Amino acid sequence: MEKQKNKEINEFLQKGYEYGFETDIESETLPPGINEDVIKIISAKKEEPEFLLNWRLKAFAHWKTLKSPEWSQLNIDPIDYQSISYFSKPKQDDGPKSLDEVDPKLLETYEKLGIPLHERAKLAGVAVDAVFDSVSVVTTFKDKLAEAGVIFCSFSEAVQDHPELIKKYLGKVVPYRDNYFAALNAAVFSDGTFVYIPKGVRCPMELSTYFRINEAKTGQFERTLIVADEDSYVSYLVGCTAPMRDENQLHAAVVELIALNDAEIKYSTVQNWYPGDEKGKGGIYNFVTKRGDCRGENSKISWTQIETGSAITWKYPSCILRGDNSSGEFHSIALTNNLQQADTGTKMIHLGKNTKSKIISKGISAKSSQNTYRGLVSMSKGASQSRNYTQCDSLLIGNKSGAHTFPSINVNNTSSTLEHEATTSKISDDQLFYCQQRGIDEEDAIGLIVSGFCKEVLNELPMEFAVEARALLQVNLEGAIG
Amino acid sequence: MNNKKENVLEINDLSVSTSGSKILKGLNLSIRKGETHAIMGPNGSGKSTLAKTIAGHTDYEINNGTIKFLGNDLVSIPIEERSNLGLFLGFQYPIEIPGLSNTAFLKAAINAQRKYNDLKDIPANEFLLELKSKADQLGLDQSFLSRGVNEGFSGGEKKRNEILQMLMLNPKLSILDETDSGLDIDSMKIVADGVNSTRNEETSTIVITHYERLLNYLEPDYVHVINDGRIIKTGDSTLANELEEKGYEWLTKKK
Amino acid sequence: MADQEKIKNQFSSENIASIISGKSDYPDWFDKFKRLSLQNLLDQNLPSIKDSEWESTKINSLTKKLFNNDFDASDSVNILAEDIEKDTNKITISFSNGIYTCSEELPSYIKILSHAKDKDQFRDLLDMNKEHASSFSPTLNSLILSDLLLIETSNNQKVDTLIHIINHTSNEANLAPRIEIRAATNSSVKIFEEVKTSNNSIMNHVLRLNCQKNANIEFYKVIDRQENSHYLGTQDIEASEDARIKFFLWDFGGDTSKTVTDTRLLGKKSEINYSALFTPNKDLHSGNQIKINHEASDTKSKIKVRGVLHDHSSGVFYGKIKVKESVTKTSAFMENKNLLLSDDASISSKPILEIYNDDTECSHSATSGSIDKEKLFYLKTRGIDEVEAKSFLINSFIEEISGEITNKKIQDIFKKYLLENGKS
Repeated sequence: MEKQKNKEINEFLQKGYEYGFETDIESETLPPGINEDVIKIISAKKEEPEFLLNWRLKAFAHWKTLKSPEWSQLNIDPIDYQSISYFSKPKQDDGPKSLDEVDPKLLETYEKLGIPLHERAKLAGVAVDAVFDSVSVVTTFKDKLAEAGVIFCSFSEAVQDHPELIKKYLGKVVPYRDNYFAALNAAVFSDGTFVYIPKGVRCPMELSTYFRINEAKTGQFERTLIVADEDSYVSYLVGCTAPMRDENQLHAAVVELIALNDAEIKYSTVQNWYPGDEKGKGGIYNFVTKRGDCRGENSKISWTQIETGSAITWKYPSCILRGDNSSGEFHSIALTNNLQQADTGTKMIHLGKNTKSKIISKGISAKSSQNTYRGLVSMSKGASQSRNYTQCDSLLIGNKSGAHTFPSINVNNTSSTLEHEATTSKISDDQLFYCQQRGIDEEDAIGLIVSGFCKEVLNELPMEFAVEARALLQVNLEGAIG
Repeated sequence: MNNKKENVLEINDLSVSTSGSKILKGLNLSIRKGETHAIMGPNGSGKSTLAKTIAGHTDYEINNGTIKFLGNDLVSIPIEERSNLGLFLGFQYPIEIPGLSNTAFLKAAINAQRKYNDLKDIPANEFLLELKSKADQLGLDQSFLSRGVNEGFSGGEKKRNEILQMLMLNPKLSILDETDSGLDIDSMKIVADGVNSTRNEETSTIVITHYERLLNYLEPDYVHVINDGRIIKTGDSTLANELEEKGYEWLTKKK
Repeated sequence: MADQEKIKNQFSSENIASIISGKSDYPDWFDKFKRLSLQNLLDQNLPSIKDSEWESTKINSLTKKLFNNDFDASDSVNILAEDIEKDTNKITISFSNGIYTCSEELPSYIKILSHAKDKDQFRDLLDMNKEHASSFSPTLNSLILSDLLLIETSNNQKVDTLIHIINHTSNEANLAPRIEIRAATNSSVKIFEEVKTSNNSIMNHVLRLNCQKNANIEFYKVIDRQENSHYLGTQDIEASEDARIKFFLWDFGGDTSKTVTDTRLLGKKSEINYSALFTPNKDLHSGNQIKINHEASDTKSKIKVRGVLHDHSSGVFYGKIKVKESVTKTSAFMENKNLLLSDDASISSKPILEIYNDDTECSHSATSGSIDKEKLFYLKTRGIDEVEAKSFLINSFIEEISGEITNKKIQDIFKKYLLENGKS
């Protein structure tokens, strides 16, 4: 009986990866390898000012002194950094001025991914900065945002049009010295997104970006910088898909968020990188450094993520709660299947007085996957009257998967309170039987139970991502009730 | 002459074991359309085992005998399909599923049933109207709609929630496993009224209980006493009164 | 590290070598054992404050003190600080400067093994500690070890007498108590151990509990406050089928006070209940590390650790529950609650779960905070002043753990310690 049930559960988990296909477009790709010349070429191709080239070179010099990191729970083949090409640009002469000018094959790619740019743009009023491989292909609605004074453009454009802002904020939250991948990214980042919300402005629409890795052996090194000036608000969404490939592809992005006094930044990610096949072959290596600096008083940064893809995930979106009364939130669902490995979590560093942080992490591990939560909550001596609440729950499906929790708590003052809870459970036979006796088949039952398990996090997602989240977790949410 | 009502449930010589122990030992039971049967018996006699076996719980292994529901041999029919066919089990200990709202759960169940019968999904407003009215009928607060399935419910609320689900799913055969245990008099009356409201020529009910009280409200057509895995006596509702007076030993002592 | 080299050189100096391993009355095998331990020690990296494992301790001061201390204090006077009440239901064994003694006749289940006279048994018991070859504290224990205390019941023997062990050292001494407790099938035994040290001393303690089928061990331990002294305890626990272990520890803090417990639930249906309190003050440290490995099905573990940190003290909690892949129906619960009573106190807590099987019920929780304002207010409205109210609330926080001790005698001893240490 047990075997029968496991078989059914396994079949449920066998959903093929729908998004696997390639786009046949000529790419201008650099030969593999990394050295100073490669970096100078990248910088020259983008016509970057000198300060930026110098910063890249310093980062590269530092990277060379570092050793690739090791993690206790992850099983990774060593990455050969010299066999990756660090730049790939689909052949376009100067960017398109409008959607009509974009290569139709590219637009078709976006259609398949479920991102009909023009339709979405018209109906939902969402501006999309779409990145194809390493260079921004199309950016829409810049004008509308410009009216509000919001700067939302590719990183490359920002370097040209707003170098003073880049110079002021780049690398201030994640300096190149921070870790191995931060150094690599600082040296070879090709593009990404830049957002600046001026004082007092509430960004009129949800901002979003879609990424896609196409060329084999192209590591993707995006750099995102979002600055919310005093009393402003922005909500930013990121969704990713990638085609099936045999070689592992590296993704080492850096995301820096800065919130000044009374500002708020919401950053949401739905990540669906190719996870590798059942035997663990192929799949994306996703190593991301994401950090938010709640610099100003009363500032707020929240990270929401749904991670279902990647062969290996390593990311710890973090908040530095510097300004008094600032608050940080982290909501995460990480689903691992087959042979996926995820090592993810968050760091909440309380420096200012009366700062708050909330962490809700839900991990679901199935088949032979390993799902690890690593968290750090630290309250410095000066962070009086601060509060943290952490809840991390793991749901294990099957007896071959692993769920691990490594929280680390450091409190150095007497007036702060901290509460941390974690549970590990499985989908109980009783719960399944109950659903089945009500006529719901096993697959749907699992979907419902998992959705119930993740409810608190799913509620945090901006509406636009509700559809993709649902699809990813294979569940029906109740949308009909108010 | 041929006024024979159809058999909704036909159990022949059923032997069932779990974790290596034999629980049911050659049990026979027939239920016809429109009938209400009560099953009583001491703890450990096999009442819950019978209920769960009919529903298809995988912990129970059928060693011998057959169960036919609406003419279908159940042994090869999966749990959810038995439900889609019209079988409902009111759990003795209703299960909590935190985070999954009662509404979403019921909607999924109803739509699964509709899909099985080649019908389209139930329209949202129709569903909500029906749900709210039945919730009222059972004295369940509107707020329960958004709460997790049985999450934080009192014992009485859980049992009433079972009956609510029964009302929404319109089963052909309901098996109520000790639905009255832990209920105060008012809750029990509400539950009984709910069950009675579904009784007609097309529906049948099996009520598993220890107490005469519920049966006073439900007035079963037949009362069976089960002991040591077999039905040892069948009578009408007066049998329940006799048991209340004399206890089970009166029957079980006899050999 | 220049420092490490310096210290290691001191270790290999002839001076130390002769004291540790060159004693004339050491039989060959013991001499060899000591030399091997010394070599093991020199092969490792000595602990330093830079290792996260030694955070908040004064480990640097410990490693430096090692040489200034007397490695072999067995010649000095036997001190038994307390006057032990004669009690028929209690037998007291004292460990003083390396030697175990007992004023009464030892019952069958207690043996004091000497390296000189009890070679075979001694050797057998030492052999079993191989897995700690690369660990600083137990290796140091092997180096300094003299006597070994063995508590061993026979099948079905239920020992009613409370076995009371007092560890005492003199100033500037390095000492290594070593206790083996083996509860045979169906037997039961209760032990209460006190650790008292004097100025500038270093105690490296190794304790092993082996609980056979259906046996019961209750072990209570208190580590008295030790300013200027260091306590390093290594505890290994093994439980067979149906074994039940109850472990209670109260640590009042030291310059370094670190207890590391490793538990293996090897037999089906075995259970461990581990409760601990740490209450350091001034600038003392208290570190509590507990690992529980569920290696058989149907096993249960419960860990409850509470800390109360005064003044500039620091507490470190590390708890790890591991459930192996092939193991089903386990239940594990871990809770760490901490009260920080001053802005200069600090707590570091790492409650860890490593789960490889889904048929398990595991949860852990950790909290940190100060005295509940609402509760304080409530007490004040009943006329109780702030100082008394705070004291009342701190005690009730502690009492939730210590109140679980059913043995009245032991309860009383703990209350005495609380009173004594509360005064300073």
